[in-house]
Amino acid sequence: MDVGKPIRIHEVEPLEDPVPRRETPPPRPERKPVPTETPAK
Amino acid sequence: MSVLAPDYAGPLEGWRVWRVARPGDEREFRLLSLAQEVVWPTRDELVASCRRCRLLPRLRRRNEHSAPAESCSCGIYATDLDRLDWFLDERTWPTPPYVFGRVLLWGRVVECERGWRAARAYPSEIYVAAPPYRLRDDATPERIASGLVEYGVPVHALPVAPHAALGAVAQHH
Repeated sequence: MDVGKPIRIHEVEPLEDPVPRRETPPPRPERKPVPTETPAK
Repeated sequence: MSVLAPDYAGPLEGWRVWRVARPGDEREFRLLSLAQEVVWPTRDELVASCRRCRLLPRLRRRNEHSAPAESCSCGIYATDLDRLDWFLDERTWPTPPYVFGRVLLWGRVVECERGWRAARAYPSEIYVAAPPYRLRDDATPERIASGLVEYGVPVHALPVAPHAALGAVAQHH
């Protein structure tokens, strides 16, 4: 592609990400340990 | 040339054409740049680098720069919709492209007489016209379009010749 001679330089910093990123699955909720009864001796 | 142009808080938008292929061990079609063997990643931006600096070690030492540089021809290219016709012309390329679309540009962007050269880019809408030649695996525009959905942007199959497809798209933009 030929776009010709440069005219001006822009610094473009989008506030929002222009890329539809692959969604990362939300972290699994931490599983609380289930209290278990200690068998009576 | 001034570098004091106002900054933008949203990406610039241009139009460009791509090749499509199944590079390497990819099962699906991917967008490729026209003049260079650069595969556009899915779900991640393409970042420009100067190939001239990479290919010529002596030049690299002397004149290494980040792309796009004003004094070089590097960067990710895009143009206006009105000028896209020329890039789809069968006489422009040995293998004429038939995939075109809108592309978002950001980072450092060099505005030129007939388009832009950008540091970062990602497609925002893709149109797949009918190839002007028979493809090796008889892929249809619909089949190619379905492979390109991995880019996560609207993909349209227009089973007409590229110039006719471009004309139809131009009526709506």
